[in-house]
Amino acid sequence: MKDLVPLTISGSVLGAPTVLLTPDYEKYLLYQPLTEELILSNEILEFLFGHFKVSRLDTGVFSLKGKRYFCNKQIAGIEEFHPWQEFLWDTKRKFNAFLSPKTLFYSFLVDLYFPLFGGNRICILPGKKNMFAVHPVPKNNFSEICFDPTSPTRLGMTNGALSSFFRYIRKDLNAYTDEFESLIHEKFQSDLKYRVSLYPEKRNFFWNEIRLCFDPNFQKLIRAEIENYILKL
Amino acid sequence: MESFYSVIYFKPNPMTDEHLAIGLFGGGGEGPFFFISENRLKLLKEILHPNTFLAVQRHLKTFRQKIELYNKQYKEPFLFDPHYSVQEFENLNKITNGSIKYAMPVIINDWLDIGLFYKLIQEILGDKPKDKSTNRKNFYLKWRAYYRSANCAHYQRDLFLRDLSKEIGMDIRLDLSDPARKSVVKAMDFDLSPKSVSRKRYEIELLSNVLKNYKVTIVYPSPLTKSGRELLQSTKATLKHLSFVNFRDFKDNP
Repeated sequence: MKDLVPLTISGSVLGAPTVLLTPDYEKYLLYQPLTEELILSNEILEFLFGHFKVSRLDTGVFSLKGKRYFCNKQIAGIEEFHPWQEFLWDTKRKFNAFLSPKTLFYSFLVDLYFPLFGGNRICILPGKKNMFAVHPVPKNNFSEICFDPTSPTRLGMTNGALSSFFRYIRKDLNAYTDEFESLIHEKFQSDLKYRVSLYPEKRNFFWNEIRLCFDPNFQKLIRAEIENYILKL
Repeated sequence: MESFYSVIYFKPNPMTDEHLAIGLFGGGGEGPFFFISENRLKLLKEILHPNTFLAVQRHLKTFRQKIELYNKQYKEPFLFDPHYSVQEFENLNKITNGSIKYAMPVIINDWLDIGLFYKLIQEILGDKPKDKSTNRKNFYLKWRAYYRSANCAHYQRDLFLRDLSKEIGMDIRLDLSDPARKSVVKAMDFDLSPKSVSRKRYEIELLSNVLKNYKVTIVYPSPLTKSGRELLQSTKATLKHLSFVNFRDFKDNP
C-alpha cells in the first residue's frame, strides 16, 4: 500500500465515487476511510497473494481533509470474472486467449485454504491475452476477519461455466494443488505471524482466526474436497 | 415471453463517469438479437490503448457469436427463454461491475422481430444495420467451392501450366483443365480493383498466347459496377479468340 500524491481529485458527475489522479496518471478510487483492521487485513491479503504469486490490483492511501482513505487502482477495460462470460471460453481456441489460467485456480485455492474474508473477487485484465488478477477488496468488504470454512460449491466452482473452464486444464489441476500445498510451509506461517504481530492491539484476535487455517485436519479436508471436485470435472 | 431491450454501455473513464452506449440486446419475441455499433467501436478505438480495445472487442464479438449460434440452434421462439430473460438481465445489471455494463432491461409492448429490433437500433444508437444478405460473397470462394465439387469431376483441377506442356516452364495455375479435349477453364472477377483485374488479364493473355491449340474459357460473375462492365466489354473485344461464359451459365453446363 503506497502513499498517493494527487494531481487532481475529481468529484464525479454523480457525486460519488471520488477518483484520484496521481502524477504518473494512474487512477485510484477512494474506497473507504482507513482503520487499523483494514490496514492489517489488506496486508494479510497482499502477503498471501504475493506468496502464491497471484497478481492483485494495486492499493494506496490518501489523506483528504484529515481523513486517510483506502484507495484501489482503476484500470480501463477491466472486467469482473463471472460465469455469465462463458462465451469467452466456450471453445478451446477462445480459452487460449487466457494467459495463465493457473492463476484463477490458485486464487480459488487461496479462498479454500484461507477462508478468512468470505472469498475474493477476481478480475479479467484486458490485453492481447486476458489475464487474471484479484480485486483488492474481498467479498465481505473488509467487514470482519472470520475463519469460515468454505467449499468449491459455495465458491461457485461447480457452476457449469466455471467447470467448463477448468475442464481444459483438468490434467494439471492435481499438480497445481501439490505445488500450492508445498508453498504452505513453516516459514510462511512464521512470516505471516510476524506481520500480524506488528499490530499489537489486533494481533491476538487476527492470529486466532488465521491459526485455524494451518490445522492439518482442515488442510486434509480441503485437499479431499478439491480432489473430489477434480474427479467430477 | 415479454420482449425487452437492454443497452450495453462501456465505461472508458472512472474519473468522468462516462458511459458510452456501444450495443443493444433484444430478448423475447423472435430474439435474442444482439447488435454492436461499429461506428461507436471506432470511437473507442481512438481513445483506448490498442490492447485494451482488442480485449473489449473480443468480449463483445464472442458474445455476438454466442447469440448467433443460439439462434441457429433454437429456431422456434420460446414460450419462456431461461437464458435471456428480463430477470436474468436485471440480475446481470446488479452483478456486473466491470467496464462493460448491461443497463436495466426495458420492456417492449410489442412482438420483437428483426424489423422492430432494427428500428430500436436506429432510435437508440442511430446506426443503420446492414442487412447481411446484401453483402456479396467473394466470387473466388464461390468459384473454388464449385469447381472442386463433384460437378466438375470430369476435369482435372488445379494443374499448373508446366504440367500440360513441359516446354512451358510457367507456374500459372489453371482452375480446370482437360488435356484430352484440349480445353482449359479459368475464372476472373471484373469487379475487383483495377490493379488486380489488370494482373489477371495479363495472365489470361499469356495463357491464350501459349496455349494456341487449346480452347480457353473464361468464367466471370455478372459485374455489378460500371467500371466492371466496361472492363468486361473491352476484354471481350480484345481477346476475341477466347470464349467468355457467365458463371450462371457455366453452372448449367459445366
